[in-house]
Amino acid sequence: MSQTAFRSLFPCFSTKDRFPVYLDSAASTQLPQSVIDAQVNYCRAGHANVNRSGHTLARQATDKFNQTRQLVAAHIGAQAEQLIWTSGTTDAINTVASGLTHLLTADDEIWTTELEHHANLVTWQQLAATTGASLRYIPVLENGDLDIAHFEAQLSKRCKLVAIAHVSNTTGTINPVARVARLAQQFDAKVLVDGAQAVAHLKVDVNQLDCDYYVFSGHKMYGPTGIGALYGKPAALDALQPSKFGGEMISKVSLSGSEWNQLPYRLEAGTPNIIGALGMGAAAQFLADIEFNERHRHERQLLSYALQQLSTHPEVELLAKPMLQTSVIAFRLRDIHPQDAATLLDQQGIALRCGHHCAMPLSAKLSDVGSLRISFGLYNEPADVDALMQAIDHCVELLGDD
Amino acid sequence: MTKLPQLQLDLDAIEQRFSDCRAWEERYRQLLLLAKGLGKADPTLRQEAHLIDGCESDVWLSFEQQQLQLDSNAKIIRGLLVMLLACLDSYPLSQAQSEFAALLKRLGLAQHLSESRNNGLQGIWQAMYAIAQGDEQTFCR
Repeated sequence: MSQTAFRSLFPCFSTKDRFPVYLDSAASTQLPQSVIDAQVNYCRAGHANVNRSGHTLARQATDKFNQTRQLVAAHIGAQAEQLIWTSGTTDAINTVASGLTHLLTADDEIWTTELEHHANLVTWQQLAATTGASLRYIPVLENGDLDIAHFEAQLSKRCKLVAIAHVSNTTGTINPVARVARLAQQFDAKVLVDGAQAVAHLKVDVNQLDCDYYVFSGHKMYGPTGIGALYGKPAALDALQPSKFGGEMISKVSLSGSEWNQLPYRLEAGTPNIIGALGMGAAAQFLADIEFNERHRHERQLLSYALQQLSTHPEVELLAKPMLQTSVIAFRLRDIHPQDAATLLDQQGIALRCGHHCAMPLSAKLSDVGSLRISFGLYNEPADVDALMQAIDHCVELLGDD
Repeated sequence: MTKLPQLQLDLDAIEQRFSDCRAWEERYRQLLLLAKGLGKADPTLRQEAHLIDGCESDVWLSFEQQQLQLDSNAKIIRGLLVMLLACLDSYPLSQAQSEFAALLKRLGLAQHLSESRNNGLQGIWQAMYAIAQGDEQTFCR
């Protein structure tokens, strides 16, 4: 499939109004027609709640919903019963953190890294505060890679959990999560991988990574917002105590107490986001329908073109140069505040992110005033990079004179 | 009587500067020129205690010895601060924020009022309301 063919699958790029040069897919991706259709068609055809009523429409909805669970699970190499629906990555991380509270004591350590999104950092700070466990960080090196040697040297049987991003949302660093999982499991620690920034760009196989939990969102893989998933190994999901109650997570209720349903329902309180799940399933199908190597080649070419253009521009400073990188680049313009740059780039129709990217500790390490971040989706083309570079020139010209 | 030592322009002069601007570049050139009018703040202003919460850039505010001082490390925000001070100079505090918003809309700079930018402008007004505690004349010349 050619570059323009990818783009043509997303209706927003053929609207009559001028659509921006969209370089903010790490915040949220655009929706292809098939994902829009899956949701609209379901709504138009008539809707019923799932896993509850026994009438024909409800059975049809339940069947469709269950097939969708299978589709999304398959996207990361998992089985349907290992996948819990959540409202997104943040919700999934919180479900794990609350669910493990009963297993942690003040003698234990939780490890995360300095390059995490706040969702995979603050949640553990809170869990550490609740349980008295120590929170430790794998440091980030100058180039944006993690200092795994430090982790390896410090790791002990006190470690009960390691939470790590598969891909950094700020620098695009691809972390060696399989290696981290192997190291952690020598001490029987559980490993949670935040896959939010990976699932649209890498071939993810949870069996190969051998992590205990893998969490991701629909809206960063061409699906809708408000839906995400928590994958877990059977024993890892069994270990989680439910933190939300009601609906199909219950099997038996009396006035003196209640019993919980089996997995995956036990961790899915209330009516699920059925429409969102169908959209996320369609997104998984959308990605499965394009050969991985084709997607990967397109994104790699785009990334290397952007890196080459940015790194040779005299006014651009790249803020990280990870060994392995995907789809995200952090940079700033010399002597120009990122917010000033972002304002003038926005005026020129460039949609990118400015600030700390919900990762303040990492951001502070890279730059004292935050950074600019571009991130790619399948629909981006080299022409988008050209438009960015031209807009940067104009921006420097306007802001640079004093 | 208090003073706004940094302010060198009034609202009419500001509107005049923007009246001939057609393209966005011209508006931002004017805004960046205004930013220079903010003048140098007291070097002690840029400290943690004076920082206003804002996501994308830093804004510092102090009100000591009846003197209001504002500063930012982003040039466009500095330009907007000049407009904010000019509004404060022409209107009582309770009206100044809505006049400031109206001015930005008239000058084609309304996008800076969006909450999603979280640029600290809202925080500046909140900080000033907290200082004034209902006294309309607090920041008047």
